[in-house]
Amino acid sequence: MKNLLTNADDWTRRLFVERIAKSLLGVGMVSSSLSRLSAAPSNRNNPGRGRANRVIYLYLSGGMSHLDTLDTKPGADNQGPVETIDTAVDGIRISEYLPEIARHMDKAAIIRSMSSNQGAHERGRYYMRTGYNQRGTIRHPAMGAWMLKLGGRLNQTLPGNVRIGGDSRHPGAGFMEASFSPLPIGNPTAGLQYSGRPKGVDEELFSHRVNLAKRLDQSFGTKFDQRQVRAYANAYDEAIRLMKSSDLKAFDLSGESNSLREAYGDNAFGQGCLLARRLAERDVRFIEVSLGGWDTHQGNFDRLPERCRTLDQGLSTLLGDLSSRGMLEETLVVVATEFGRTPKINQNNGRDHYPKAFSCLLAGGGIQGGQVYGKTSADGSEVIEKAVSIPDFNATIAYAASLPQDEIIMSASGRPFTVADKGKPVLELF
Amino acid sequence: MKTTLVGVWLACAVATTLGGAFDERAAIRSAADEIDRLIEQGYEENHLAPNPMASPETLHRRLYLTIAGRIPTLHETKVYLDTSDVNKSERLIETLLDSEAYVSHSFNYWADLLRIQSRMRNVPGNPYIDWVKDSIRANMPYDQFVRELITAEGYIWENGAAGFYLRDQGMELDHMANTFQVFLGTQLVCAQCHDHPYDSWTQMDYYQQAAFSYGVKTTDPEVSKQFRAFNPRSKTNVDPKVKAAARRMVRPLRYRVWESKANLRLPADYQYEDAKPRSLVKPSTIFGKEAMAAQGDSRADRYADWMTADSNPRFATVIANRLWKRAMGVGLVEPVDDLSDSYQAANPALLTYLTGLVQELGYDLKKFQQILYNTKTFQREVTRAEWDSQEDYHFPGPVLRRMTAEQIWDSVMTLIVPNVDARRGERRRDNRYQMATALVGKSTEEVLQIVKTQMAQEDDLKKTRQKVQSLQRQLRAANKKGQKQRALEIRKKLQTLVAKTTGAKVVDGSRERRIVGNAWEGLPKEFVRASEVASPAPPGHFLRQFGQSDREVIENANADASVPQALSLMNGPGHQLLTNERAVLNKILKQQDKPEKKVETIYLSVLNRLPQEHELSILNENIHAFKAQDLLWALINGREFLHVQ
Repeated sequence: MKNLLTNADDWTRRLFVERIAKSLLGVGMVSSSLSRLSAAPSNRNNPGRGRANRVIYLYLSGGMSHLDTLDTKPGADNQGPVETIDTAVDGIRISEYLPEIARHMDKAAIIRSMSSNQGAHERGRYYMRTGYNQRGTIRHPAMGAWMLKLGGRLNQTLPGNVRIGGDSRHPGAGFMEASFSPLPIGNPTAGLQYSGRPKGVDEELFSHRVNLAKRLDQSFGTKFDQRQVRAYANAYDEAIRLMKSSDLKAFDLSGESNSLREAYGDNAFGQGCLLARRLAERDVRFIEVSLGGWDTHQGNFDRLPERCRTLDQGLSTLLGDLSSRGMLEETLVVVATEFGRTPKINQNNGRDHYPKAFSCLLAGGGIQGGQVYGKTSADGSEVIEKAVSIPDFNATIAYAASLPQDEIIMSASGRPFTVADKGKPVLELF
Repeated sequence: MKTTLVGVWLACAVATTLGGAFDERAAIRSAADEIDRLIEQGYEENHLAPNPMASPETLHRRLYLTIAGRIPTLHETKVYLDTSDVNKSERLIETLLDSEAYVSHSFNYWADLLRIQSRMRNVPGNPYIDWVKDSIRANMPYDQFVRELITAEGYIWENGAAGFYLRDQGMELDHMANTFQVFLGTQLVCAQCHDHPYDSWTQMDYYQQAAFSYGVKTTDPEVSKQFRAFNPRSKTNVDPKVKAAARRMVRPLRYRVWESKANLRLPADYQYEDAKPRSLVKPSTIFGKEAMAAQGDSRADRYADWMTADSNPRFATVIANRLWKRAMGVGLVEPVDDLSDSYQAANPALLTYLTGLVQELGYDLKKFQQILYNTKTFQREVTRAEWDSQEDYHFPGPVLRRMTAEQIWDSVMTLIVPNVDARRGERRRDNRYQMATALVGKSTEEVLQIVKTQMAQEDDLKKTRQKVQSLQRQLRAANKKGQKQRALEIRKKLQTLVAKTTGAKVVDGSRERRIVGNAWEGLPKEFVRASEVASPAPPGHFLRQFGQSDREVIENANADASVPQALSLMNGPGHQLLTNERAVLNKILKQQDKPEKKVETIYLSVLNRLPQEHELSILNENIHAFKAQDLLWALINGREFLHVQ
């Protein structure tokens, strides 16, 4: 709370501007122009509200079993064969499936009191990514789009919101401008799609063609001096600038040492984490990397060790890498999933969907590492301390990234929305 | 006004029975004239000069993009421009409206409105997709189309229209709001949780309206009863794996649309004084003539009657306004799907006339569009200045629009794929429903027998698939090492194996052939029109890059410029067009040797017009070094290509 107080002047000023704006211009104008002016520069100069200029969002699709990963219950009937191990932080113990994360525990905070009300995959994912329940009449933006809308782009050449791997039903920019949609990258090692000149087209030929196109196109641009027509000229200029930009190297993982590439893991998720770091390094605002395969209705204990190994390698290397480069302070790393899994082991030796209690993890961006927040009951079935709802979780991300939670954004249909839907950030994590 | 209309259409009907297509054309022309007259009154009242008439080239391209959803081919363009028939645009409109291309293009429009997806939560979307396409092809009257959706019953495999309800499974209240937005241009969604802040709808209005379709259910409780023995918790002595397989087989039967007697109740947090929370809601329509549902009546039927009646104040108006916008780029009332209580059209007399016309035509949307495309208003040049959406537009001509994602993709396909409208997308065979129905009425023992046989077959198939994959791996390894003889042997084994399983003939020869059909002059099977690609196309697909709707919310497409679009046209599919030797355009260019001829061909193919003086002079500067590919690249990456003039 003390952080909010030190910023009181800022706040008062902002509220004042907003009130005047409201009376003069109506709410819609406030969200798009004035309040942005007063909120925009807050990021770097407002350490009290979190320090994350960039977010790396690791999404574990399918629902990660909390009991077998971050919230083990040694000795409980339903624990199954999974052992619990010590971590780098005294008193925090996690699953034997995550030995490397255990070693980096000082950098991360585990939330063991997550609770959702959505038990189906699609709705659960939507809720997690947007902070809003899925509806048939509106598409809510995912956190990456919120970050660009409220915080702007930091790198003007690279896209501000990138999504590596993952399912096709991502909420993307929701009702917001298409330019806030995540750029989808299917294969993290393949580079940015179509950003290189095709085979057989050298620099000279390319500029010859660009030049010809511009000259022939000029009369159309003059005839129709309209916003959408001008926008295409800009998009081409930007694309050509990107093709020539040194920032494009971010997508070329061969610039990394073999040993580091191997450390991240020779799989799409690991290489995706590495790409995420390279993009964060160049101030891409929001990067999501997905890892599927957590829907362990059958053979939970046969399948989890392999999944966890991939996560363990990718995440721990990412934390170590960010930290050694001095980037962890300004990069928030999020590990999210749609729900946990039933403490009870089913007849197929699996666990089913369990939104009532589960775990997530946060690191960097002002989060104090080496802590556990919240608690579940002895069998892992109930949250018994400090429950964190999905909007609370997203509000915490927003807080870490200094996004103004009170700024109202209107959908085209005239409905008001705010980032994280009035969730309360968990301030004790910072 | 309405009487003259009736007169015209009566005369037309008589003429048609006498076999006179000429008189039908006359009727169409006279309706188009009436529209122009009303629009011209608007010019006078607003002291506005109309745009000049569009050139034949511009009109031709616009008609193709508006009706067929793609640019015309080189051949189509040449034929049209060379024809001296003064009625050629009139004839072209008729031809295009009767083409398969019209079905494809209209489908995209309805897929955006109805949010049609190839994969729904529990059932496949293809039967729904086919139903909509068939309805467009048959030119099903619009009121009947809407009625069949609202009153749909049964399995989606038997009645594709059932997809209308299955699309919003478990979201009955949202479904009603969507239905209103699409067919009645009315947004009620705010009133779902509280009284509407801007319009007069109350939360009670919302619930009373929703009560009409609330009884429509999308799951069948009978199925779980009938197959109780396979429930995981049932005490039957059956292997859990077999139980699970049986449940999978039965699954399609669980999703049936039917109308129950379920009654809607107010929410627990209902905050107004006119009723208590959780009390029963009596169905009542929100505006127009009250629909009455007597005891034992189907409420969905009464809902459909009310919706599609001429007395509904919004039904015909909304579709007239939507199709007007589709032709001109701006609606007479905007936004077309959010009419307020007291909305005012830019030209009220015209909106009234169009509403009457739709009704008079018996909701024949094809004929209605035919009239719109025959107006002078549609056939004028587009307006050069940008239209500011805050002001009324008085239609000096249509507005300039960027092509939709589908139009861009389909236009690129037109340059590559011969006879592209006839090409069908590849689909996986779906016989799940047939297999499930085989279980209906069988005893538990019989079902068990069928399920076990099925499991054994699936097991076989799985093993074969593994064998094929292993052979393919070996083949790749052998090829990599350059072991030709070994590769040949593996290939033969592979062919025999595949032939044995699929019953296909072994193709002789050393070259590996794909067993999949759908060959089309050697072009990739993905090169089909947008309406044949999965709905929506996967993220990252060219269509999505250019703003195709995700089909999650109504009309969610956008026409915004973006960097990935430019990259895609410069270095991706746009570039492949230049290098693909099998592309129609490249085949034609290969046969031509004079640069001047190539220039003409490229302009006629991409922009559907001849090059102009200043363009020729730019190209002539360096005509000795002219390369067709460079010009093609330049035009594909120019803004004129992407816009509908």
